[in-house]
Amino acid sequence: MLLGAASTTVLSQASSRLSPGRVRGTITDSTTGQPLAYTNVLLKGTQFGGVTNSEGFYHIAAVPPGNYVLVISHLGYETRSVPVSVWEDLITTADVLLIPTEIKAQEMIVQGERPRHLDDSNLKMAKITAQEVSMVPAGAEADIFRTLQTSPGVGATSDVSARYYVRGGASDQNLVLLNGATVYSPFHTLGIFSVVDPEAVSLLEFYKGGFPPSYGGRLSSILNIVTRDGNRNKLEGIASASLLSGKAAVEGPIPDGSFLVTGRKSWYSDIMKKYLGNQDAPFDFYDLTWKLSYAPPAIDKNSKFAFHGFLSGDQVLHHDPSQEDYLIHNTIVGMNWHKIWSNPLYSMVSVSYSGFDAEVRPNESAAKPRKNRVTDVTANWDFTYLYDTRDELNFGLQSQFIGTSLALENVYGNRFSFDQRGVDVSAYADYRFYRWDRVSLSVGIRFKWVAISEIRPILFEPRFSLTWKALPWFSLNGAAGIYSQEMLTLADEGELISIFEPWIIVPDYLNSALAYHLSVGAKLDWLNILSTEIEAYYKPISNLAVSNPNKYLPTDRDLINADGLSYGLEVLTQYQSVETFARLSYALSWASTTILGQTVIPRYDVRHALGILVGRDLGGGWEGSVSWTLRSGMPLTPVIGFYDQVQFDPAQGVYDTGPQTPVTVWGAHNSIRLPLYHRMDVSVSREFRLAGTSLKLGASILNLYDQKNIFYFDRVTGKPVYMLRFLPSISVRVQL
Amino acid sequence: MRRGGTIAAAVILLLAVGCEQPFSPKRFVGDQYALQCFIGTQSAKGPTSQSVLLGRVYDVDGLDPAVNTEDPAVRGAEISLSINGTVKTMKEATRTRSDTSRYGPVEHYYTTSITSPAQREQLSIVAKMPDGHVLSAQTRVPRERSIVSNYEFPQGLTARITRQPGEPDWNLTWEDDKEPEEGHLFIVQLRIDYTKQEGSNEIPGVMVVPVTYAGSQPVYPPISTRTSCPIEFRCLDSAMVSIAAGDSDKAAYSMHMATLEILELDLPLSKYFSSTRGSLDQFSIRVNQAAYTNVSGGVGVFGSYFLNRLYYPLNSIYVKSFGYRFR
Repeated sequence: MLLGAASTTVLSQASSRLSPGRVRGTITDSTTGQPLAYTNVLLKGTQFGGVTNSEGFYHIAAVPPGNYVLVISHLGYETRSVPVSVWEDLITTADVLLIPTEIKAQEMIVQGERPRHLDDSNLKMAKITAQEVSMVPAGAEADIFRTLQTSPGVGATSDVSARYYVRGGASDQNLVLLNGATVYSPFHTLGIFSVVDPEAVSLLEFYKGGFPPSYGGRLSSILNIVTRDGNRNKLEGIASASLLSGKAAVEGPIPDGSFLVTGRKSWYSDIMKKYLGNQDAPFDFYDLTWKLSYAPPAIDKNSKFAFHGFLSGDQVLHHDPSQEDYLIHNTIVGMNWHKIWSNPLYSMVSVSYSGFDAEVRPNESAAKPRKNRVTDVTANWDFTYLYDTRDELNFGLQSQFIGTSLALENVYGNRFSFDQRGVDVSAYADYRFYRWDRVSLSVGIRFKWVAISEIRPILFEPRFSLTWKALPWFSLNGAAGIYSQEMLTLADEGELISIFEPWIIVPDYLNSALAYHLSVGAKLDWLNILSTEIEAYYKPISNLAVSNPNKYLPTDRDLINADGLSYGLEVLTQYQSVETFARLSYALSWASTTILGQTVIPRYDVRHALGILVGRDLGGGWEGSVSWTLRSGMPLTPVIGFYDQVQFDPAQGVYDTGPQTPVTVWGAHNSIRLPLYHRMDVSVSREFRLAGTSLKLGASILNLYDQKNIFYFDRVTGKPVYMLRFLPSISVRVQL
Repeated sequence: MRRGGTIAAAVILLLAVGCEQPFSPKRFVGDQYALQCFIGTQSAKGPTSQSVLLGRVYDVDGLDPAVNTEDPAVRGAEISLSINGTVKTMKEATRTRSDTSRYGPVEHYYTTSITSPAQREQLSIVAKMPDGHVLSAQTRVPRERSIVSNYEFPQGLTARITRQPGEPDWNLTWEDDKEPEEGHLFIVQLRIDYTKQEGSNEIPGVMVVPVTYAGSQPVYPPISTRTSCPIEFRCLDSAMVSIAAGDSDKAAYSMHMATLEILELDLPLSKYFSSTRGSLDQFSIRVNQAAYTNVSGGVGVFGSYFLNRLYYPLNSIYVKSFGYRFR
C-alpha cells in the first residue's frame, strides 16, 4: 500500500516535470494575407512538427518546454526560421508570413511538400494544386475537372465533357463541395467546363475513395473546393480573356478582413462548335463567385468568419421554336465560422443553402416544360481535438435538409411529377493515431441518425485507414470503409451528351446504394522530388439505381436496383522541382454492373489508361506544358444486323403487317470497344511585367497531331463522328 | 532534362501521327430471322385473314439499312398458328408492295384464314425455317370490353344535353374490375363518318373528335393504359363545325353515325408498340434501345389486339342544327 502510494507520487512528480507546452499559429502569404494550407512546420532538430489545415492553421502538441527554432517551408515561398519558446502547460502562438520566392508563385497556392509528421493516413487524398490546373493544356479555358482527369483512376467518356468517372463509379457518385456546400450541377454547357473558375480557388482536395467519416452522401469520390480569401493587403484586379469567355476578379482588404469577387461570362460560341463537331452551339453561361472573410480581433481574435456565394447559369437558346431550350442555374450562399479554442480544439461551423434549377422548354410543341429543382440547406458542426500524444479526434454533426421536385411529360403527353423531401442527420467520429513514428491509423465511423430516403441505408458506416512507414523512403497504406448514397441523377448512361440530368432522392420502392471501399497501396519517395504511388482497389456496390431495361409500359418501374463492381490498379510517378513538374500515370481497371442477373460493363469502363504530363518553367517568363493520353476505347454495343420492322400503328389505322422500316438489331450491351484513344495537347505562355502590371499571353493546341478519336457512329450515315480535332486557342490575362 | 523531355515528346508525336485505325461497330451475325405477326380480332366475329412476315436479319455496307435492296423475305418456311390448340398451317402468298423504293413490287408473306379468335384465347406460332432454325412465340387475346358511359343518348349522340352538375364531360369507362390486366395499352378514337355530295358522287369523309383543346389546339386521346376517356362536349360541337368549315354548302354533307373504337393491345404488342415509339418512359431518353421481342429464336413480335367498336347514332336535330343533312 505504502509502495503504491510512493509510486504514484513519483509518477505524478515526473509527469509534472515533463508537462509539455504547445505551439500553434497561422501561416499566411505575406503579399496577399492568404492562408497557406498544407505548409510544413517543424521544430528544428526535433520530430515535432505538423502541417497547416485549409485555413493555414497548425498546432504542434506535446512539446517539451524549451527554446526552439520553428522552420516553415512551402514550395514557392522562402523557407523561414522563427525562434519560439515553449512553456510548460502554455500555448505559444507563432503566426508567420511567408514571402513568395517570386511573384508568380502566388499561383501555386497550396502545393504542400511531404508532411514531416506522419499524417499519411490522408494518402487517400490528393491535393490538386493551382500549378497543376494551369499546367494541363486547356482548350480555351483552364479547367479543374480536366485536371482531375489526369489522375489515374479518373476517366472521361469523351473530349466534349469534363464530367468525370472515378474508379468505375457513375458521375453522380462524385460529390463536389464548394466551401462546404454541395454543387449539384458542377458543369457548364453539356459538361464541357466546370462551373468553378480556377482563378477563385485556394484549395482542392480530391478523394478517389476511402474518404474519411467527415464526408458522406456519395459512393465514389469527394472534391472539396475552397475559394480564396482575397488579398488582405492591397486592392487587386485581374482580367483575362480566352476564345470562350472573359472573366474578371477583384479582391482587396476590408477592415479586419478581405473580399474576393470573380466572374466569368461566355462570349464566343464558335469555339464550342469545335467541341460539338461543328454543330450549332447556342450556349451561353456565366458564373460568379464571391467571398468575404472577416476576422474581427475586437470580437474574438481566434475566430474567422467567411461569407461566401456562388451563382452559375447556363442557357441553351436555339431561337428556333421547333427546338427545346435549356436553362440551368446553381445558387449557393453560406457562412463558415472557424474558431480556435483555448484548449487544443479547432472547430468549423458552416451553414449553407444550395439550390439547383433546371428547365427544358419545349417551345412550340404541346408538351409542358420539364423541370427539376433541388433545395439543400446544410448545417455542419465539425471539430478537431488535438491530443498531447499528437493524436487527433475529428468529430461532428452534419445535417442536410433536401427537397427535390421533378416535373416531366413523356412522349405521349402523360404528365408526371415527383416531389420529395428528406432530412439527413449524421454524426461522425474519426480518431487518428499519430503517436507512433512509423504508423498512423485512422479509425472512424459515420452514424446516420436520420436518412433522406424512405428505405434507409446502413446505420453505421465504419471507415479505416492505415499507413506504415516501413522505411524512410517507403510506406504501405490501406483503407476500407462503407459509403452510402441517397440521391441520384436520372441520367441514362447510354446518352452520349445530356443536358437535363435531374436529381431525385432515391424513390421509396428502391434501396439506397451502398459501396464498400477496400484499397491497399505503397508509396516510394525516391528523392525529395520524385515519388511513386501504387494502389490497388476493390469496390463492390449494392443497390445501385439504374434505368429499368425492361421498362416498356408506364406501369413498369423506371428504376431498379442493380449491383456494381469495380477494381483495379493505379500507378502514379511524379517529379517535382521548382522548375519542372512531370507526372506519369497508369490505371488498369475493370467496372461492371449486374442488372437483373445480367452483367454488363458501363460506357465509362476503361481497361487501360496512360497519361503523361510535363510542365516546365522555360525561363524568361516562358512556361510550357505537354500532355499525352492513351487509353482503351470506350465500350460500344455492336450492330449485329438489320431487319425490316413493321410499323404497327393503330392510331393511324395501320393494324396489319403493312409499312416497314429497317431497324438495327443490337448485340450484347457494350460488348465491343472503340479503337484506342490517344491525344497530345501542348500549351505555352509568356508573362510580361510592365509598370506593376502583369500580362500573361497563352496559346494552346488540343489534339496536336489531329488524331481521329471516334466519339460515336452516325446511325444514319454510318460514318464515325470524331471527338475533338486539332484545336488551337489563345488567352490573355492581365493582373493589376 | 530539357533535351530529354523534348526528345520524348517528339518520339511520341512521331509514333502517333497519322494513326487512324479502321473500325466498324458491326459484328454481323448470320442466320438470324425476324417474325412479325399481329393477330387482330374484334367484337364482330367472322372469318379473318391473318398474315405473318418472315424475314432474314441482313447486313449492308455501312450502317444505313435503308440502302438494302435485297428482299430479306424468307420463303419455304413452315409456319403453324395455334388458336386454343387448333393448329392452322399458314401458306405462302404474295401481294403488291406499296413502297417499291427498296424492293420489287411483289411482297412475300404467309397467310391463313381463321375465325376471329375469341377474347382470352391462347395463341401460339411456330415457324420452321428452311435451314431448320425454329422461331416460336405465344400470347393471349385481350378480353372484350363492355363500355360504360356516364351519359345515355336515347335520341342519339348530341352535345346539347342537360349536363349533370360537376360533370361537363362525356366519360367512357371500360375497366373490368374482375380481372384487371396490367400493361395493356388502349388506343381510343371517336369519329364521325360523313359523306359529301359532289355532283352525282358521294365522297366519304371522317372527322376525328378531340377530347379537349389546349388553347386552340385539339388534343386527341393519349395512347395509354388508362381505362377511361373523358370527352368534352364542346369537342363534339367543334368537330361537327369543322366538317364543313369554310364550305357554305352545308347541305351537301350528310351523316347519321359516330363510331367509337377502343383498341386494346395485348402485353407483347403493348411493349413492342412502346419500344418502337420511343418508349413510354417517364423521364429518360434511351439510346441503343432494342425493340421489344417475344420471339424465341429470333427477333420480332407475335401479338394480338382486340378492337372494341361501338356505334352511336347521332341525334337528327343536333345534326341539322349545323346545316347538315341527317341520313
